[in-house]
Amino acid sequence: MKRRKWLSLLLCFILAITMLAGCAGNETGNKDNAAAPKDNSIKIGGSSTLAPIIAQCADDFTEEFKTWNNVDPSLPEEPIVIFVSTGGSGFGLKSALDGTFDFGMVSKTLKDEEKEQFANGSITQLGSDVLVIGVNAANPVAQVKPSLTTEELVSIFSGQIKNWKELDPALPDRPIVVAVRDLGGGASEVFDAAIMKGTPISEEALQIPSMGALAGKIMDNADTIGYVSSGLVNQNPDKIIPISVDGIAPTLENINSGAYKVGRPLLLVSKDQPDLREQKFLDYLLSEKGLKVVEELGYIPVAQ
Amino acid sequence: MINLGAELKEKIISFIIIGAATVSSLLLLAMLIYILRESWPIWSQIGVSAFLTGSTWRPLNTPPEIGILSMIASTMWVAGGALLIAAPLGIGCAVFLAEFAPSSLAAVLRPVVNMLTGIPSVVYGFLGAAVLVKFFEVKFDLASGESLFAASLILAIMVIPFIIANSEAALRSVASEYRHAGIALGVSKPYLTMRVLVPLARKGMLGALVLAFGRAMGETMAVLMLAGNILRFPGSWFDKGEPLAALIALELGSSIPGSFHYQALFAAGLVLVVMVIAVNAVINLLLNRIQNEV
Amino acid sequence: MKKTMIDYLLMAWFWSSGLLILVILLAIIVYLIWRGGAFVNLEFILESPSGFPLGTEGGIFPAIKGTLWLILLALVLSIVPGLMTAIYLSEYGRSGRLAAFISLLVQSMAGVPSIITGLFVYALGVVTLGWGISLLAGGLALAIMVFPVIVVSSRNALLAIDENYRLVASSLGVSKSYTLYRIILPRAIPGILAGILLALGYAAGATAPIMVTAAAIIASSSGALLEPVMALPYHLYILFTEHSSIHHAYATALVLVCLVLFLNILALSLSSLQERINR
Repeated sequence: MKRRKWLSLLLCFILAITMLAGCAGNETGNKDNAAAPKDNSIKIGGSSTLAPIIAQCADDFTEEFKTWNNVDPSLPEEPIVIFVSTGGSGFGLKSALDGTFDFGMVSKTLKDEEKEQFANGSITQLGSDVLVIGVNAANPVAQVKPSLTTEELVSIFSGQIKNWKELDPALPDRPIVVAVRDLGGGASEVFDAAIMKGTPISEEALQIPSMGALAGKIMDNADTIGYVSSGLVNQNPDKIIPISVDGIAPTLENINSGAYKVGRPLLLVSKDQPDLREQKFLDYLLSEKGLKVVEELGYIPVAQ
Repeated sequence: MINLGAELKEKIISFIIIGAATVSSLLLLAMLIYILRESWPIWSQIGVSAFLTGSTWRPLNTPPEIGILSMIASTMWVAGGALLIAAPLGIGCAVFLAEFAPSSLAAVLRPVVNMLTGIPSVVYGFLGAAVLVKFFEVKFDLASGESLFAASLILAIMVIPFIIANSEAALRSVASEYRHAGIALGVSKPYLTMRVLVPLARKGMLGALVLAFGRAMGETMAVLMLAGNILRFPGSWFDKGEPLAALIALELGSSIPGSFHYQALFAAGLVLVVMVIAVNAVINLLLNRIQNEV
Repeated sequence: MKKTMIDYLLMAWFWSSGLLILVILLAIIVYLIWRGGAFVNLEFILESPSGFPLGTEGGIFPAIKGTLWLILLALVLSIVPGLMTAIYLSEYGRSGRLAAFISLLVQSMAGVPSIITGLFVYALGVVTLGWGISLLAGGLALAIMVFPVIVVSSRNALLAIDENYRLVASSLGVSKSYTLYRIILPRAIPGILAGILLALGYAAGATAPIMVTAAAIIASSSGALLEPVMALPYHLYILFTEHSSIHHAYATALVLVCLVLFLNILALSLSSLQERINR
């Protein structure tokens, strides 16, 4: 009898803790932020598109300056420590609000409600990720029809046209394999806003978990068409062939002039105003050195 | 006096042990409560049956359509298929290791089986995508080689070590008297094994299969790369599909926490856990029946 | 003993299962070596990632350290609860509703997708308890993940001990805890350890739970509990998804598999020790 009483007490205790855990999902841990000591490392996390860029810059920044006082004499002589994690844009937004990350990496356009949450902090754009319609190098469509109209793209991606031959009689009689990113994600939103405009993506389309894997699918499978980050196309020039949209090729001029419209911003958000160290790193990211990294990885840096 | 002390000590020790066991298992309860909390709006607004039987998943439409029937079917197909492939192979191998393998071969095979657990699921996923998918595309001239079958195949390889290890242990714990009696009676070893030893070990073996099934239902990384992740209801084992675990892994990172989409994904997670619990409960009931028969 | 057709079929089944598994694993290992072996050298193991993009050059030392720290922590956090639960299920509560309930819970934990375990620990550890993305949170997530494996294999190891020990001990009036501590456990320890090492192999390869609790693309992995760490499966995942260096990805996979092989060979020798003791 006594044993059961103790057990039920234990149970209540555990339930109490789990209620707390559940609460953490809703509240943003403001109290924790004020109480916890600000440790000296910068933690950044979120979009896996931005992660390589930031990680590279963090590495370069740390290599170049080594300690904070070299960056700015008013800062102490402490080693620079910057951590970069992934988890996705949504995770980046949430964790920035939770205070888990000092900066959240986001690769999608923020809605107004989202922007409001960062009103007291910062939203910094580093550049844009341009989405290119890519096909396999062995696919003759690049020669036969190097440009597709928006309507043709919609009919391909929505599954109305299922066969390459239906697109153009000169093309082989092969089914079209449509590769897209996950339908809730940033890349998908961009594609929808620019091309599909509300027409649902085909139910047969393969949802691929990452841009790298999507690029891999296009490179491995001759019948595939999909939208890929420009960075990955640049890194694999002979394996993925870009298709122009309505006659506009995804070249640098067209992108900068705004003629090529399929792209998403690369953003860093923070809940509070960045402190001196964070600001210095942000400045580095926006400087020539940082933007060069953006460009070399194949993305479009923000104009200086 | 001494007796009282010893008895008290016994009580304390058994209390600690029971307490520890209960507390740790309550961790699962804590997780369930967490998932329930995160997904509550879905249950209250959409309702259980609509969520489970709807076959359209478009959470970002207005109005959002969230039905996970296709995903439930894909999950069962993938995990069931994996077990279909893994069970005969795993049990056959366990019997082989426990009864028939010459000790030198067994000494090689056992570490090999253990090594399979160590291969990370990411590696299985990418090996599957690079090798298996490509193989299907080339061999069967398919437009794309992803399918529930491919995912089942890889999942089978992933769960086989668990089946083998636990089944072999179950077989080994069968008393050696049975084997001696078999030899004395002149019964052939395979007959003895299948008719006497395996039935005696079947409780442990079924437990192993249940653990494997749970693992197969919850496995994420491998199915993400191999099942194809299409939104349509899968037509057959060789069709593409999107198991629940893949759905969650695919969309959770980019969903906005607190949003309807996010809550729907947690609801899907809860369904997955409940499915595993249901399967386990059913098997346990069957096991109890078996125990009573003996 | 007359060998019937069925006997031959059964033998064929047993032998072909064993050999097929052997072939499959060797095929996987050979493939990994073929695609990544050339890149595994001393420099790879001992240096940090470098190169452009990050990871195409240099090594994976912090990831190796991070994985070792993570599985050590997972072990520390899960061994006592796991063992206690296994002991309860095998010694104290063989029948009875509480035992059945706990057994069900444990088995069901195996089915929770690892990413949800990760998110649970994120809510509890990273946010509420203020740990941040940290080794501690990752260790906890992995501990929860391997808990069912430890319970099931420890329980099997305990149940495999000859029942006679318990019967004789109780008939002699020896207390249950003494029997357990002095007689049963020492004989079961090699088997229990084998199960633990199997579980650690599983933990070493897990990506999803550490992604949201502990992992960073670049970190020093010095072992500080409240800092993010690098980890081998996560590094592998990054390399694969960025498509930046497939060779290094395979090399990382090979290193991870070898690490687990080492753990498992250890497990194997310990479990064969148990065999000898039990007989």
